[in-house]
Amino acid sequence: MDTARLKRIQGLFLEAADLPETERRPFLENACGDDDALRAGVLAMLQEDARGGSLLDGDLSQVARNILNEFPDSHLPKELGPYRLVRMLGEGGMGVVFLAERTDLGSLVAIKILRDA
Amino acid sequence: MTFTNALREKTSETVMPGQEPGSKAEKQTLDYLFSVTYEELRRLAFTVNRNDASFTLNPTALVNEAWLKLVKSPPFETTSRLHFKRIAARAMRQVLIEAARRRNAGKRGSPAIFADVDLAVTEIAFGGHELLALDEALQELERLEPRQAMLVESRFFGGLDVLETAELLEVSEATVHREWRAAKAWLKHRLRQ
Repeated sequence: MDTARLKRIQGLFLEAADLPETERRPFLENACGDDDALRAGVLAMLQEDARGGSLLDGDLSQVARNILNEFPDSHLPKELGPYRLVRMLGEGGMGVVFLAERTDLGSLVAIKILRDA
Repeated sequence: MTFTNALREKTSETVMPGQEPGSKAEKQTLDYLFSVTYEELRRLAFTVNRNDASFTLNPTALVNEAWLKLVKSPPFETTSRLHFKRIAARAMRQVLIEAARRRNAGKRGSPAIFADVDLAVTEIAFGGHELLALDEALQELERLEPRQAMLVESRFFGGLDVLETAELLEVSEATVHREWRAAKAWLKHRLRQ
């Protein structure tokens, strides 16, 4: 990937994004010609544009909190039924999420502990 | 791309009043501004009671707090608020990246997450791994399109709004919207690969 390529793919993305959905494919077929990688890239970007739920779509507050929040290990319940809590992964809206290991099976899961629990 | 290069690329006007653009004095001033801002943001980020459930680490709020404190001292006195926010965005990114790296030190790879039928497993809130991946993708964007990377950094890490970003980059608001949209889609696509 170089600057020219990036400008091209972004340029086509913006043009296609402005078109009604039904017109996008024909537009890209025409604009990209043989360049399948280019067309695939633009289509992927259009998909990302339509879908939210990534780090960049939200704000930094929650992420920052997760990174800077050093949940003191001494306050961690060490075991929860058959699970051993390994470390905190992050915080969702309603509770804290931990990485846990199933002590008998060794498998890893994520456990959410609700705030009011 | 060094910090001072990225800032200078933005505009032809003098960044630091009274100093020659590209001069050693200007570079030293900018580096100084950055170091002090970085230290202050780091201090603020780590002193708030993080285990308080109501705590939110809002980057815009932190940047404002840092500004209120630092504006009284030279050379911040002669720095515009907009330029400060630009510097603070880069500094905030640094604070978080370093914190994420420290947390990940010694841990290998990302955690394996499986759904377990007995538990209510939900999506994981974004944390250090995701931020480090974003940082890498952003570094790549910096190599290819430095002004666009600056836009992303300023908006996402510094909390600059569309108007402020337009002023910083000396473009229209419509351009900011377009560039932000394209940058986001490109970065998100990159992060999936």
